[in-house]
Amino acid sequence: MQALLDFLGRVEIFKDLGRETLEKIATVCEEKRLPRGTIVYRTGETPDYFYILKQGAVSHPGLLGARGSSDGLARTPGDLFGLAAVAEDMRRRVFTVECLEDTTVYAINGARLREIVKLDPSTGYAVMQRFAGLMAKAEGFVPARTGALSIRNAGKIYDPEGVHVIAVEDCSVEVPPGGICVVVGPSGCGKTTLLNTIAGFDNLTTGEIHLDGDLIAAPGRALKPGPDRIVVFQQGALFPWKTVLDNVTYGPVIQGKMSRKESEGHARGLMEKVGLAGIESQYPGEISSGMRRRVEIVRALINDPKILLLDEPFRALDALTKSVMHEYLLELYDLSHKTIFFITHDLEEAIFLADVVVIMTTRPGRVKKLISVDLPRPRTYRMLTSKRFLAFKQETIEGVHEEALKAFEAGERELA
Amino acid sequence: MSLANAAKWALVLWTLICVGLGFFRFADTTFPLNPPPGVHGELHIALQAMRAYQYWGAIWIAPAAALFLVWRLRREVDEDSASRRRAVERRQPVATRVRKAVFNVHTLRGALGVLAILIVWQLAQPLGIPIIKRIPPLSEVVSRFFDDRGLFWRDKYWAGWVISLFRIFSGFMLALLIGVPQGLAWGISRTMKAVSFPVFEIFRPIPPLAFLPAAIYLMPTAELSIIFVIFLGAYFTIVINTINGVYNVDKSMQRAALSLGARRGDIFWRIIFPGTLPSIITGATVGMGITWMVLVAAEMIAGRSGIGFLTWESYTAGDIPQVVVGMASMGVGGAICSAVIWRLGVNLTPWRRLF
Repeated sequence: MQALLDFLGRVEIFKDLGRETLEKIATVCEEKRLPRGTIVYRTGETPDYFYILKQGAVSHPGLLGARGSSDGLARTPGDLFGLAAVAEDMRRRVFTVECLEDTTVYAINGARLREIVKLDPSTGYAVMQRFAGLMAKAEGFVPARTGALSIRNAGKIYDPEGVHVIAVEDCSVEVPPGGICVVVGPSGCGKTTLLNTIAGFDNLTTGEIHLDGDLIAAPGRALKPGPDRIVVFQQGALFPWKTVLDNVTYGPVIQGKMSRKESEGHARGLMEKVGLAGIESQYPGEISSGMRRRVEIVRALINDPKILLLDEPFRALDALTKSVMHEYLLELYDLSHKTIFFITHDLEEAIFLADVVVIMTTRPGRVKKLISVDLPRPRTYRMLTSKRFLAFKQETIEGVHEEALKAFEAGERELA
Repeated sequence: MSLANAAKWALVLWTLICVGLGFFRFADTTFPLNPPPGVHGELHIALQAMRAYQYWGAIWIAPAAALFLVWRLRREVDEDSASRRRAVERRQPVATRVRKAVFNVHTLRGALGVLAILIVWQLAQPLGIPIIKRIPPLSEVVSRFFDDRGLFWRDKYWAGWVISLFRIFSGFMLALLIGVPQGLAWGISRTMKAVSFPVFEIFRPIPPLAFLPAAIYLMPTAELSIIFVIFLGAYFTIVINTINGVYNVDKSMQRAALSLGARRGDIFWRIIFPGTLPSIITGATVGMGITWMVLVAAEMIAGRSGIGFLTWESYTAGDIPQVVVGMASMGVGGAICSAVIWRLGVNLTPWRRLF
């Protein structure tokens, strides 16, 4: 008991608290052993508990990247996580945490802790403020509270008077801000059509699409393509006559948002941050295809879009490069938390990246099934063989295979 | 940029005026076919030809000046463009570039190939290789070229070079000036293409030389008819290549640009035009080759001067070695023109230098 009291006394946030309060806290402390790989605050759990690290290491994936990788970790005894559990009604804002090694923690019920601390006559108020400050700081590193995509009963019929090809029918998907939505489905099921309508290259025949509450597509109404919804294409669309740097600065310069000098400084900074320094004055033809894809994603991100539309961007890459690119994309995602709408054929890719996997039926494309993937972030290639991953894969394959078979039998040509 | 725009349009207007004036002036000009006798009679022809050409020359000098100005203005706008910096960075000193261009393994191989042909040519007669043995051997052709009455010493030959090159240049420039914008327009607008492309397709298969009789009849001077036929030779190829170039510009590239915030004008100038440039250059290179083929035939029929005419004249005089001299001259001239076009193409599309 004395050891626990000493430990609590050393915790930065509790200093100044009276001994009586610390004793009260000690009574609600539960020591917990979490084996390596445990995931705390899995999506869907109610995060009642606030944790103090006693020994071991955990990562705060939500913060990883944004603060530099070392800051996303809690390693030192006395580090805290799950601050939001202490605050009133903020329990949905805790970040998922993964134990990197066998870890011992003290778990404290957030609501109880709040009550105890508030009662401390002299400094309780200051401690609560400190909690709020720490939390706000952590929140500040998780940007992207914009980019809510809402597709409602979207439908697209090509050539309604003639051949009457129904590409998409009654398709409804909701993607929360900062979410990654991956659409899979057999060839020609209208995935790309859907993406084109979001991007503004195509219009809808029924339904509507909203982005952050703004109507961006409806029958007879399509918002022009613009830098708030940037597309990365499957064949790659870097301009071969511009150097990498000019490609990256193309958006800000052509929109007149920044001067060329400014945007180049900005681009260099961004490229350095994501490990692309040194190739600025190269032409796209001179760099590897994986590198080109990375440049293309950076070219999109520099415009600070609300949503990133990726149309099978890694299709042409070999399997090894592809797996590296996935981790790279997720790293970039952690930096910016942009909403991502991703289209693919590759189920493993889909599950690895997604918050939610949308399985579409063969033509006409409808949403057959939504699978929310609650694997913790950051995701690493090790997860590809984990049981949960495989379970998700099984689920997805079952959904897709049937459709693929139908499409195969129908023998329909892929619709661009 | 309003000043730049005003300057641009002023130049375009000036160009149009020059074209008009040049045309009428040129139509009036009759060539001094019978120059006053003198030591430099043939040089006189060349000078006369150049004088006649000076208005005609305005046609391509004015657009060239306009292009240069636009280029300069563009450059000021894009002063800090990384692509441009990159192009400048990579430019080595002239001496180094020349040395690298001359003393490298490719040049050596090329020289070896030429040498092999020359040797075969020289030895064809002693070895009795069929057909080739009837060509006068290299040594005979060279000595014919340099002997007392050889073409090397005659003004007529060098004036022929000047005149032929002028004709090529005028016709080719006209083809570029008309063909490239037309190809771009047809590539972009389905309506425009639908209206006028069938007409173009009917005229295209007609060999340029088949236009020659009609051209001689229709054009005010023989000179114009030659240039017209040369123009036709390059024009069709350039238009077809430009259209296909526009079609081959990746659709997703245009979409990507739109997505990044580009407007329609940006799409044309910054995506379609640079994307089509390689095809335009290909068209120009092929067109330049055709130009030389056409030139010679046109000069043989309609001309009274130029290398093609000299070759024909030598044939009618039965001077076969001199015919070969003429042929070799055309070959060299064509090769030089192609090399120039190729070089320009490389400079205009630095991103393709890698391949």
